[in-house]
Amino acid sequence: MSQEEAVPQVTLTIDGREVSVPKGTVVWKAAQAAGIEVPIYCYHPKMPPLGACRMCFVEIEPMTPPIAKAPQTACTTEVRDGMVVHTDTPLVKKSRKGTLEFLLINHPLDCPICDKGGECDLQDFTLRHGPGASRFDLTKRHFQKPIPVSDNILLDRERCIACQRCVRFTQEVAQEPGLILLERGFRTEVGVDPGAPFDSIFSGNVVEMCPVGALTAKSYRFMSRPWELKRTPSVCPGCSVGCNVRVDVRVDRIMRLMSRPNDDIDDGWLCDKGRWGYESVNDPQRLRVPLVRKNGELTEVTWDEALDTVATRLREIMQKHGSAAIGGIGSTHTTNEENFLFQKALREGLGTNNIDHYHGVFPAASQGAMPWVFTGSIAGIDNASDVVLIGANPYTRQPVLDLRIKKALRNGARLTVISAETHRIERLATRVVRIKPGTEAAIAKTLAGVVVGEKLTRGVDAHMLTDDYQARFKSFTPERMAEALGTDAEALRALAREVAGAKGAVILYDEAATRLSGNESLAADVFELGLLTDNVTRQHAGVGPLWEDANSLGARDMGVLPDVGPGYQPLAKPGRDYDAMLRGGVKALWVMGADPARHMERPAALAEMDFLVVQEMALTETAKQADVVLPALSYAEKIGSFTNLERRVQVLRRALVPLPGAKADWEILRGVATRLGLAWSYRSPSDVLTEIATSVPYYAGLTREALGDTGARWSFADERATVTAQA
Amino acid sequence: MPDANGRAIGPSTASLADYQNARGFAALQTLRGQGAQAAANVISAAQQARLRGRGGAGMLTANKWQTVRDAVAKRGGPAFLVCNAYDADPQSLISTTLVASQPFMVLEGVMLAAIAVGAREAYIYLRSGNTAGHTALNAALDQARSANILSDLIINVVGVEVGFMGGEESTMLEVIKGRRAMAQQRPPYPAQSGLSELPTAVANVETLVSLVGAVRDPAAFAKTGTAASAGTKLFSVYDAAGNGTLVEQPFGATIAAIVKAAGLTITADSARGILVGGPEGGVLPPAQWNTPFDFEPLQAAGAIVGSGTIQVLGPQTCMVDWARERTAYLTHESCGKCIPCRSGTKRIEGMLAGIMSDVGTSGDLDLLNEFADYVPDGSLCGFGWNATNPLKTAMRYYADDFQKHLRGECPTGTCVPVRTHRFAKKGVL
Repeated sequence: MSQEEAVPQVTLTIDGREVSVPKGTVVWKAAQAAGIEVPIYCYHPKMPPLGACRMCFVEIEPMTPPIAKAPQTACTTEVRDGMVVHTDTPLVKKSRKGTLEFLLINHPLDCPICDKGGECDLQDFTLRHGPGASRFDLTKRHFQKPIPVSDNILLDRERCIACQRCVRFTQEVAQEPGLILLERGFRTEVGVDPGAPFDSIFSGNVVEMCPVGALTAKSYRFMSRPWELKRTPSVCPGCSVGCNVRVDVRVDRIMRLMSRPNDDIDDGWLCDKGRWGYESVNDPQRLRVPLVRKNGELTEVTWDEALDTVATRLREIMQKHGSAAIGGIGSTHTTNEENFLFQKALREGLGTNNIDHYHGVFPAASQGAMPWVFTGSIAGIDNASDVVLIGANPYTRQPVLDLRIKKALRNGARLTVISAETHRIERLATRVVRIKPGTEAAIAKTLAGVVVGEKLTRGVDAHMLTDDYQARFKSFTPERMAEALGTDAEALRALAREVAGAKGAVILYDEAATRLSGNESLAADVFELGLLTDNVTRQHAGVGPLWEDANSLGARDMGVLPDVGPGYQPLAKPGRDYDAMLRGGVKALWVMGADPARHMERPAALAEMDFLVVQEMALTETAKQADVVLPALSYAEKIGSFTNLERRVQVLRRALVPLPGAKADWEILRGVATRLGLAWSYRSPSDVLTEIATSVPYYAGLTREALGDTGARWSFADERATVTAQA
Repeated sequence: MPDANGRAIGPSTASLADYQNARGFAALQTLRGQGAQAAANVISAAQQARLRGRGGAGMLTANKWQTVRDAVAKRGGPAFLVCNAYDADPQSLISTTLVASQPFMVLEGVMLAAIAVGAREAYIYLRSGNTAGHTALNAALDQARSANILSDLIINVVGVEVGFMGGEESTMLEVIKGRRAMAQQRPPYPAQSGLSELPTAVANVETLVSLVGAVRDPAAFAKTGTAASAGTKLFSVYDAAGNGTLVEQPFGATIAAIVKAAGLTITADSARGILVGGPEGGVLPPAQWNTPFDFEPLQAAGAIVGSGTIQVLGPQTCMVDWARERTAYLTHESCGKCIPCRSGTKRIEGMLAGIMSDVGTSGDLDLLNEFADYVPDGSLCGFGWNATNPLKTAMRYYADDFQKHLRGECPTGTCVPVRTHRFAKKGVL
């Protein structure tokens, strides 16, 4: 992020330590900056202060308390210059003890069987700040427990300390019907509206936020003790947002995914799709032994036999039909390193450019502008003045972005949803334009037409807007669109004016929308709209696609494409694309981590190929048709990197002991390539990354160390400069 | 407005003509002719009249409104005005009576205050059960609208029923916003960030009615009352049997005088104490009955201005039981947001029930003493800050009652052990 207006610093003293923090910071955060723990329950750094739990008491010297000398809550008090704060006075200690003593009157001491035991704030704070014993030897309050609040989450009301974190998350962050407070006073409890279960794709966050064991996830309930878990920082493989996660593993299974807050990406949240999407890794049906088709049956063989078969058969077909008869389908789920090796093995080992993966329709890289990278930043959406979703539904496809958009709305942004279907976020939208599927591109052209026609362009040289250029939009008038779609022409005009005058407009479309018939030019049209209204490189603005998978952009960047090599280096002789290969364009097909059978009307056609080799974790439809199936490892069992939709490269670490018998895709590729006669000496994906850093533009100079724990948007500034030059 | 001589509230003024004949809206008309200076004039009149808020906190009205004006000047935009006519204390007769019998004076007070703080929109907030109030207020609003008196001020009448907490100012704003009736942490104060996160002045209806008198003639207004608090105050005075009367007395009148003005004759034999301040008020023994009714002397005595309710407690009142009953009410009314209030009131109630049921120990008194301060210190809003007043005054002035119960006898022979305590020593919270 470039120069924001500087926030003045405020200096205060906490327990004798001087600390400087930006104006507006609350005392709790300042104490944290000074390395002093102030216990909290209700406060959450991503939500406004509440002041309910009365745990974060401190004593502040120059303040005039409302009544005789009382402690102050650190989470609600903003710092002031010269403030003197104490966190260890007798009054503070007494107050914290009092709060904990009251909380523990009714809190059941079922810690031995509580999921939270061992990572419970109530346990920890009682140990550090609480009374050693209770003065209330009373029968505790009991409730029926647990009660389900949704299909995935159970509520134990006895354990609840009424901090309201969960309630406020659903109401203020997810802004969805969810958990509410019921009853009053000491009877206060968390619950749901009668007949309205907690229905949110973000529901798992409340389990993680709950400071005690009141909200538990069905998937983790009674499964493990927290101290048995090995915790490894990683990246969620669920979608192209690339939320940072912590993979918690017990022996040989993933027990849960927890958030690993990264304010640039996920803001500390995860969606349920990502959080609970690890079943495929734990699946007992996963492939463990290579399979080769013998007498029509897939038969278990050794790795050597399987790899020999692949190399031999591919070489035979190449000799018989030529390199053009061989093709490869790469993956949006495997790492950059693996995709790089995949295209390298095919291009160098087998001499073919028939390489592609399943992706949206984008203009060829050779045409100049590359509209497939979101030109803004995920964090920048927070401060956008306008958000326009064209045929995109982040709530189900890139869910954590939905929370970003809601954050922007809380900051005053306007939201326009242009879609053929009803989306959940529409109830918060300023404007909804209902269209027919496949007219997204025409809408984008229409908006651009209004901008050009009404002379609202920004940052564009007037001489570029020739009559010829303007004529391109002639058939795309709001009136004509309105008539065709039964929508309101004035709404389209108003939207175009807003985007043209926006402080920063973020315009997003889904990769899937580009595949609809009629939308072939969608990517280019939206990019053009961005250029005409200067929303491409402007701060808090940006245009781009929302990709489907965790490494959709990485696969593209690595050159798993028929017409360009790694980093979009043009090729002299382009190969066949995805559809052409599946329509019988090749005799042998090498598939890595993909399931093309899903996209074929007649999957059996795969079996009719001379040779089909599939690297996969489970026996997919495609794998069932294969001649050789090679068991692969999941994202949690290998190292490598993913590239998310804003081209942030992030590191995967090995969180789980690899499944015995399976190999990482890069190892499999190395095995085949060596047998094809390539002298590959990669010892690990790190060696591949080094090669990527030296040979792939946009990834030049990248190192594992530089990516660190939070990843980096590599060479992104260079590309923005290119975009500006093109504009 | 009734006169300042302690007579019960004056005849109802149900028609606009009657009100205008009695100098009604005259002050408003004068101010409307003063243009931009009008706001400062209202505030300076309130200042000169030493008008203090009648809602319980006793802030100088002029200071409070100046804070709102400063906030408006700093951030621009409109301000809001909220008139609290809710009568949180179910025993209070004040707001209900004022709204029903003096609706035009309420409206004039609201309009004067709106001028003072620069509000374009005001809310009059009352109990939805107060049908007489709603009827009178809406009728008065219709007449004022037709007579073009409201100018461009939007006045909304809001009726809610959210218990005792509904009278707490931040809770009131939450309810008007359509949220759950829970107190909010301050700062930011409503004066800086209230409705729509804009500066909002919150004033009690009695304050606004007093404001009309204060603006008409600040000097005359300041002549009654004390050096700290000028003017008169309304009281809901209850006898030991629970019959209430509304009286008006100047600030500084003694508790005994106020009770007498209500037509009650009491002696140390006929009354064990007098509750001053409503549900969160304190009980004062005969020796304290000459305490002048004003914010500071009452605080020193352990009571509060509160809701202006004054109740005579009969000779058969055991103060342990009385404190338990008061705390039980507050336990039920606490919003439950913060733990000291949520669990503190309940625990105090439980311990008092134990002592009352003759199973208390001297250790309980130590704990009660501790909680008497801990609950106010730790609580989030005025409810918690005052929730232990009944306990504190009962322990301070009637220590013997507690000692007797610890020895197993009730000082008045009236206490019936709480059921859970009759069978088991350990109560369920």
